[in-house]
Amino acid sequence: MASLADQAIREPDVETAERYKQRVHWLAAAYTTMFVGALAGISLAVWQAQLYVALSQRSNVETLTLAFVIVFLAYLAILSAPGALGAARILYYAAQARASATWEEGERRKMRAVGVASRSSATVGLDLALERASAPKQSFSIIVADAAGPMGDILVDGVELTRRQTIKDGSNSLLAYFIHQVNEILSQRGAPSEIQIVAWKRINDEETAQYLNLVQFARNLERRLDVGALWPQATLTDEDCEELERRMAAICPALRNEAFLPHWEYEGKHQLPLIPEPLGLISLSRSEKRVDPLASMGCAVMIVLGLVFILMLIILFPPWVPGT
Amino acid sequence: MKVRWLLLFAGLLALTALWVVNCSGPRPVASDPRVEAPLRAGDPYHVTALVSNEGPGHGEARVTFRLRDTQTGRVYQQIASVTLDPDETIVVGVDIAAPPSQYEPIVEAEYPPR
Repeated sequence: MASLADQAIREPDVETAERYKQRVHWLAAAYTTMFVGALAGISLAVWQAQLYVALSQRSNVETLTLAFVIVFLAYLAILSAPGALGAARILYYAAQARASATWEEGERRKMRAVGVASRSSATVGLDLALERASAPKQSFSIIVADAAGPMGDILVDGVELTRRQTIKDGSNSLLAYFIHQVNEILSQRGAPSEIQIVAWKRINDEETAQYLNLVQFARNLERRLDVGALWPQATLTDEDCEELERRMAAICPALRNEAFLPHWEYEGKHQLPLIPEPLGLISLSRSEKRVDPLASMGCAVMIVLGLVFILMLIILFPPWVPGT
Repeated sequence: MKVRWLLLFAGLLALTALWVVNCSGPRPVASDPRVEAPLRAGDPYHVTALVSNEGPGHGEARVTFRLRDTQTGRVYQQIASVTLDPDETIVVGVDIAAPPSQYEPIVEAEYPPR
């Protein structure tokens, strides 16, 4: 059972291929809504500038707040513009695919449009080492491909999981999806299935390198001492790997769509000041090593829509201000 | 989970309604502008208008009276402040000193006063 943090923040909608596909659609919608909403907010602020300046002056609010709102919305518009463009391209190629003779042809057209792979690959660290029963203590790869063409593979080397892609890179979410599938397959045959991603190279490369080297040390030691596993591990059978490849093939069309979208991968921190600034003696905080773009951009969309709603509310119902 | 979201949405809706009802200012609309010529030479023109509050709130609005000379295009202006309660319509009038001529009265009400 995934925790709320897993479901909503770290790895939302990566449980099944269908949800992964929906996740990409939601992400595309989030970028588009944020872009359009930010432009709408800026337009409202500029169109009714005299009203907002008069209200801010008469209610003792810094007029600079208006400038902050415009700069903030402009920042979000710039941030989401590649995503809105990507969403438009997804729609365009979806329409093209409908007109294609076969779905493979439509998918290949998408792959050509996405472009070749960048040099950087997505790497994460797992809490348990993964091994293949038929080749213990050796790295192995799971192919990510469907009838339309190859999308690269996932290289598994102990606790290190690397996505090697053939077209322009996708997000870390593929690796999160992979681990969910591994856990599900392991639990189906009654094996322990609590594998988690604990380090994300694209977010914190130093910490990830440190962690992966520590695990490598443990694995070198176990080879040297010729003892059993020093680092906890889980084992996949050849049938498990075949099933994994089938499951990876199911999300290839979604991966091609996702490749059109930018991937803003960040850490997240939530702070709750019990004694607020300027004293700030006590504050509670909780951090997540990774915030999925769907969660971060979803929050940004809510903020943008909230701002646009408030701007419209002020136009429709100007608040009371003291008389002269 | 759906119930929580519904409750959250209902709470936001209630907050918005309370804001609109309790924290809104007036929405003044000026109409029926009239101009009365002075009875004696040298006295000012008297301009009146109806100002209605079409919003749910109350507060001070600014009413701008203009007399536009239909022959020369010259404009004479006077400003008045009025306090409006919800659903209230008041008659506002000002005197504007202007030379004898044909004038068209123009009245505008705005909130917040700028």
